[in-house]
Amino acid sequence: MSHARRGREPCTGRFSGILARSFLFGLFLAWTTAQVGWAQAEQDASRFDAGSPAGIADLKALEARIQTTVSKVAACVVGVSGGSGVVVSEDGHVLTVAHVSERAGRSVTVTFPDGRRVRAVTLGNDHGVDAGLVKIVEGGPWPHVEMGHSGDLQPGQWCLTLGYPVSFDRGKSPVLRIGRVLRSGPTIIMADSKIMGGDSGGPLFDLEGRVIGIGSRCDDRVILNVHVPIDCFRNQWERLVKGEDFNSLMRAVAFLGVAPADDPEDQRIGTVFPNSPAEKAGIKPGDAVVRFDGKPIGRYDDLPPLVQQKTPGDRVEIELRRGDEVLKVEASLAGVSG
Amino acid sequence: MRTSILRLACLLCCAVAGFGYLRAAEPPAGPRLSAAEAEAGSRTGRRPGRGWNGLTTNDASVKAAFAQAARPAAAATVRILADGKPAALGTVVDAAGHVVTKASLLEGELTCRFGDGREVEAKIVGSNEDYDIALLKIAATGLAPVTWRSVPAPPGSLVAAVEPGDGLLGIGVVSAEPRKIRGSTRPENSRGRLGIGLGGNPAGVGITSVAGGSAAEKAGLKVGDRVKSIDGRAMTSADEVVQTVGGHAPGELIRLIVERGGEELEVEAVLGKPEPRREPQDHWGGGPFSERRWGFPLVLPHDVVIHPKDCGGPLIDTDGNVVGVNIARALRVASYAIPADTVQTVIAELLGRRGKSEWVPRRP
Repeated sequence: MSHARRGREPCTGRFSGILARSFLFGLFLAWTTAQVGWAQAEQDASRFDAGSPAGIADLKALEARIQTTVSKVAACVVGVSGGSGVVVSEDGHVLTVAHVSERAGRSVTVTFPDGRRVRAVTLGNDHGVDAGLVKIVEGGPWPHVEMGHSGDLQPGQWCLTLGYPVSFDRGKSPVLRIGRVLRSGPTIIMADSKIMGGDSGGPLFDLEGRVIGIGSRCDDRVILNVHVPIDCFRNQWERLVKGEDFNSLMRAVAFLGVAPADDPEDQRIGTVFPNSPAEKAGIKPGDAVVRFDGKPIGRYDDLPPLVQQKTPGDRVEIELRRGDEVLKVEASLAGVSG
Repeated sequence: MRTSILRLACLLCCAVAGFGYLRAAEPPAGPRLSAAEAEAGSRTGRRPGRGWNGLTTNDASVKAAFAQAARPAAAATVRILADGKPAALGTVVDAAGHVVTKASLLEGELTCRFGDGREVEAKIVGSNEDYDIALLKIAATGLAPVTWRSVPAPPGSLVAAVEPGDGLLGIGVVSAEPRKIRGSTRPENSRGRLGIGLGGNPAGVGITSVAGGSAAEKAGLKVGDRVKSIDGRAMTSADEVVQTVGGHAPGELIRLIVERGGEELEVEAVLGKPEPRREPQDHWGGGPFSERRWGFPLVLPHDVVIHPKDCGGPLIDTDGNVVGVNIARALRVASYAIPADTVQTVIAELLGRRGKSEWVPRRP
């Protein structure tokens, strides 16, 4: 991660003029602060932003950075309706997820950690990646945090989650969790800082206190937590501000109903979903797909793109290797929300 | 009809009304990882998928970085065995052999095993039901107890849960200021289950359903029966029935007088264990959770994932000082520790009150 980016190439590039102006002062402050604390931060950052602590001294330095960052950003983490959110502009733009804001034009309540409850309205939503934008419609100026960039996140990079998980009160300090980015792509960030119901829309921060993602969903396993990358908000900022609802889940994606084995080296199917086309076709965990719709499959990862190129309802021939046997089955693909 | 369904659900689960943590407006469920995402390689298993370099918050290198600081606390941590089986962890609090642990996990003959394999007998000195803390005395002296952190650990403090020997259970942070946890202090499985639904008449004591295989079915209770009394106490409402049944432990016998077709019958029922409760909070996974995880006057929430049987052990800071004693695995995102100063107050009270009547965990 380049330090230069932190202060000098602020997030104005792809922003609308109105928002850019509202951000300028905040960015100036952030830039100034960044310069002042530079030498100290740089030394710490080089040790853990994407790395492993070597001993207790590193852990203590990490702890100091966590506490500094939390004290800087906590006031901007809010409750939004039944979920969470984070204020990113002085005039009250609040990032959340689409499944909390639901649709544009809804009236919602935003609750600050100091107990203030203010009126807000939902703006646009990218339902495909689960990004939602909300705007506070009274008062201000509001405490806000800087939006980071998710394109250059490194697996292993430390991160912080703040939000209001179920059973913790809104109107109080948000609840902190730490973690590391496990992987990062254009539409999801997976991190092991745990989220659950109520955290939806809550921010994922880097150690500098910049929002890098917004909490969206999780798997049973505690380490699998999915965040909407901040770049998804940046790339669609104008449509979100205009209040567009787009990429709605109406578009169904073809679905076979299998998942890979736990071991990335293992090219076999690890899971067959109940009642899925795969199960109905007789595919079993441990089978390896060698041909899908006539196209050879070398490794598991070749399969999902081929499935997604098909249309729900298509019938496809699948060649499997099961132990020493090779068998052919036919599956009728289902459709699921993308 | 609606109340009848509510009561049915209430009785079948043996829920006791009044869990404060349930809000009228429950936050919406975050969508879970979709099947399509799983198919595309967001692995359902332990691994997060391709592009992952193996680094996690609790990988071996992070634990190793914390290990040195954890050594003294780990030496003062014991594995508590109940009838020879691992039941909890314990924290050695003085040289005389006093150990604190999680009270509701103690059933049967107790021994404590140190990291070096030494195993000694343990007896319960006393317990505090509010905090679910038990104080044990073990047959060993000259022990090096844990050192307590002198000031509260603020949110953002790095912490680790330790186990006997060299191992660290996991690391995480203090997530919030100490807080009260509302709800019932009784473990979920300590309430007897009869297995009937109520609400069939204005008073609500008419039986509207009998669960298959339940204590009620075995006792011969039928839909349409009206519960007149339990153990000699007249029953005038469904709530009263729920409360009375829930006041008994599984395995206990209750005597009911029911009215059936104008006649009064006496029925004896041996109460069963309740179905494991799936709280709304558990929808998001992250278990197993402690049975006794609600109703604490004060806990320190942190994000270290611990097994329910690893409660009772110390939670330490980066100096190796104890910030609290783990008392519950509570939510996907949180475990609870009783703060260090509170534990010390409870210990002092229990030592002062020695010999007087003590709360003992309920046994079925």
